[in-house]
Amino acid sequence: MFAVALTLSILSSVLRAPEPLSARNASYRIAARLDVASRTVSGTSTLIWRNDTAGAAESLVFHLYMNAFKNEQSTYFTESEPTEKPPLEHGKWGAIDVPSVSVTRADGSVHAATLEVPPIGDQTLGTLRLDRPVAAGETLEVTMHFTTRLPAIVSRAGVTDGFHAVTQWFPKIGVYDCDPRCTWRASPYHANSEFFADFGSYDVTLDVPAALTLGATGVLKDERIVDGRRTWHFVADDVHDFAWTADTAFERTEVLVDDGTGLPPVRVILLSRASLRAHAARHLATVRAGLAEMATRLGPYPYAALTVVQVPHYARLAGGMEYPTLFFTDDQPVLSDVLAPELVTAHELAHQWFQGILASDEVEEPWLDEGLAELATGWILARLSPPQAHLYRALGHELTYVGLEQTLLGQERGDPITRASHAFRDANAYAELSYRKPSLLLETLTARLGDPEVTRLLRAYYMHHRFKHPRTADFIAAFADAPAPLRALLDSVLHVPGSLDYAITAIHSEPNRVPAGLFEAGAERDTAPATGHHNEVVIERLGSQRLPVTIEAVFADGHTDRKILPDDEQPWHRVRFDGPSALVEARLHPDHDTPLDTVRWNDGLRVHADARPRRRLADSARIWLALLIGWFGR
Amino acid sequence: MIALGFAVARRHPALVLALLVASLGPALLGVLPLDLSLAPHLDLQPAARALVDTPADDGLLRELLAAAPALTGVAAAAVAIALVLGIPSAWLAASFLAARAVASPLDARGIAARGLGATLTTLPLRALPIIAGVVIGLPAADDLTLSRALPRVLAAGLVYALGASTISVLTDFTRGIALVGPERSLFGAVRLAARAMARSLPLVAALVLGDVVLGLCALALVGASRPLGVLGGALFAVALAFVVLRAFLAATFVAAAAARGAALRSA
Repeated sequence: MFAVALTLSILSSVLRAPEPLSARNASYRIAARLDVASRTVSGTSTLIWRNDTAGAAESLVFHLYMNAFKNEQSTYFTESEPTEKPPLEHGKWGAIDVPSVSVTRADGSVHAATLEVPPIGDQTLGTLRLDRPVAAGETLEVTMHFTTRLPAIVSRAGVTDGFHAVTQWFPKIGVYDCDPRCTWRASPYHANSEFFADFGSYDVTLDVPAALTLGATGVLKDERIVDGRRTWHFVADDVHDFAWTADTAFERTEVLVDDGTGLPPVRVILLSRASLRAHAARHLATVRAGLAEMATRLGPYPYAALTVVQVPHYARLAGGMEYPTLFFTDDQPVLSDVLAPELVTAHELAHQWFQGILASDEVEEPWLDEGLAELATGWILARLSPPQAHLYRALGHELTYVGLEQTLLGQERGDPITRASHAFRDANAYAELSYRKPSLLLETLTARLGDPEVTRLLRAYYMHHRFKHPRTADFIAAFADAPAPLRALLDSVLHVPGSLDYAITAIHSEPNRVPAGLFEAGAERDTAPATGHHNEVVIERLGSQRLPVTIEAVFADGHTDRKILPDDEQPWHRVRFDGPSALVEARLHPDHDTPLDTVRWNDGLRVHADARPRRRLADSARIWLALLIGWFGR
Repeated sequence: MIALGFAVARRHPALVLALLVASLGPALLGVLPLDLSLAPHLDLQPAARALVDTPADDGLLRELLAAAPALTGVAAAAVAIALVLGIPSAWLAASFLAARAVASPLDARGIAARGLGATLTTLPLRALPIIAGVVIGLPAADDLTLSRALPRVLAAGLVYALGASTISVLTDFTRGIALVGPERSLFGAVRLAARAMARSLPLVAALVLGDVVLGLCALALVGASRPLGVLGGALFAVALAFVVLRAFLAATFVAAAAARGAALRSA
């Protein structure tokens, strides 16, 4: 009953769409107070949870993620690589304590309970034993008093020098799932993973010192000041998390952005600061482009507000992280031509769709949100004015966005993409296989199928699974209509370790000659020049993954010729380009339709060496060294 | 006094040439291994053109260095070899040039020893302009855009360049004093050189400014090259001519400063 009342009270103002968008089976009412001196947030959280599965739940499992920063026994700490141990020390640890819990049933009965947390080791999950199971369809309320001690800024949370990133700060229930068997999908806080939860409505009241400016998930309903403290009241619908930020140095900018869909404009709030003001307009321009682009590609941003937080340099560990209707971006000192601020903002904005709305399990299937967000980042950069396909293009140099992804992916890794975030060999493998490789796979599909077709398939996937928890199988099913080689590639790249790497390993060209030897009637003939050239190229498949590839031959007379190799199991092909002219060079993927083939240095070969590029590089190095010696040799 | 420098530089073309060879020779030799190492990676690859085309594909360069990490080591070794060979050679050439300018009584071994000794004595002072430049320029790391950072970066660069050139002139004065007065300690020569510079401010200013202008010209070459730093065609010819000119002017400056230092020491 309470859940219904909560929903109705905030419905009209927090969404751009006029109806509930999600199941809203995990809603919260939270009242909390921030004590700046002790770095604690204490309060009461009331969860209204409905068992939306077909099976009964005998217990409830809660994320207590702030305990990741409690001590060095947490999974987060033990999984962190030795060279990247979190910078926590005396006085900077974080934790969450839940001293009392009560459970209210629909029939009005109330019973006290205890949130069970392992006494040692990882304490980021707590289990609430119930007096009786929660039946399918049954709703209950769980009221918890909690005290969260914020760590120094670490892994996207904490407080440093007045900048507060208050995330994963309240006891948040896991996802109960009975497909295929009933279990709680709740994971400890891993070093390389993000989050997963059910959708609901949030009504959050935050009592903080009046000098602080806040930003939070959802929209601000009201605020009031009493005795030097300010109470902020936020509400949010159809979201699966609630994060907030506070600082006395925030400069708040608010703009209305029309995404071209005819819906009411989105209220975009940028929380900047004097030292970061120079990038503010760039972030806002990216958000404008992103809201329009994602609305065109998938569907409109459904929420009334979006908060973008610029993170100070000393708190950069909080940057580059998304939460529903709020994200922390990143600001590095860069040349004005380098799109690094845009890149981070575009990526985090894309997460509003890929995980905010398509709420896949970021712990178990991180590629579904990171890989797709990477793809969408390229869409958003291309939507900027002027359109950008480059991270930078300045001073005679360029790095395309896809080129950046290719260089970051590097060589073959021993894991498949579809691994849990904590099961990758290391942080690099996690980044390469959750972010880069799926993005390049989708770029390759886009190049082969065409942008409109891939957009159509992704939109269908989005429309079918929005405000749900799609899995890899759902994504593959969305591409059921794609051509067989591409479906095979999709399946192979997602599930099988290996790489897509075709190489030209040999090239040969020589003028044709009349054959010498003994011929009819014993006549002996010497060789002699004949017309035309014998040209051939050997292409090898060095990786385990396959795709039809195009080879282009360039001839001495300037003309070109192309052939397509099938995606068969042959490890190599000899391709002949015999004709009137000598072969000069051959290259693969002339239409740049295979970004997944990231080893570009073996994609071409010349018949004869051309030392000019090398000489130019070496001669330049000689001159600069001579000047350097001249300067220091005085 | 600069005219004297020109005269000495003209009278001793072999020493100017030595200064030039000291700059170019190690650079030519040092880059040779890198040049040879690049050959198997670039010469048969059509993609190599993308490294020197405009715009240059930095993604390909990153891929190349990732695929052939040894190249980074070879490049670093090339720079190290060139600097380790080239800088002391240039110091030596400058010492002999200074010796000619001040009519040093020392033999070749003595010139080499005193000249290099004077250079090494002032060497720690070369850290000062570096420190000053870093102190001034470091806050620019907090600026978010080049336009905001540019004034501070330029100021830091200018302070460094002026300071470095001033130390170079001090070294030249010191060499001159050390080469005509072999009985004087090198630290004493530095102190005397500093006093001599204080009494020759117009000359010092001319030498420092001349040196800085030469440095700025080199920066202009960087700016004019597209891709940045990759010289080709006419720009390569200009750069080569500039290296030669710089060696001649450096020889002139060395001679002028050494002569003034020696003259004031005698006075």
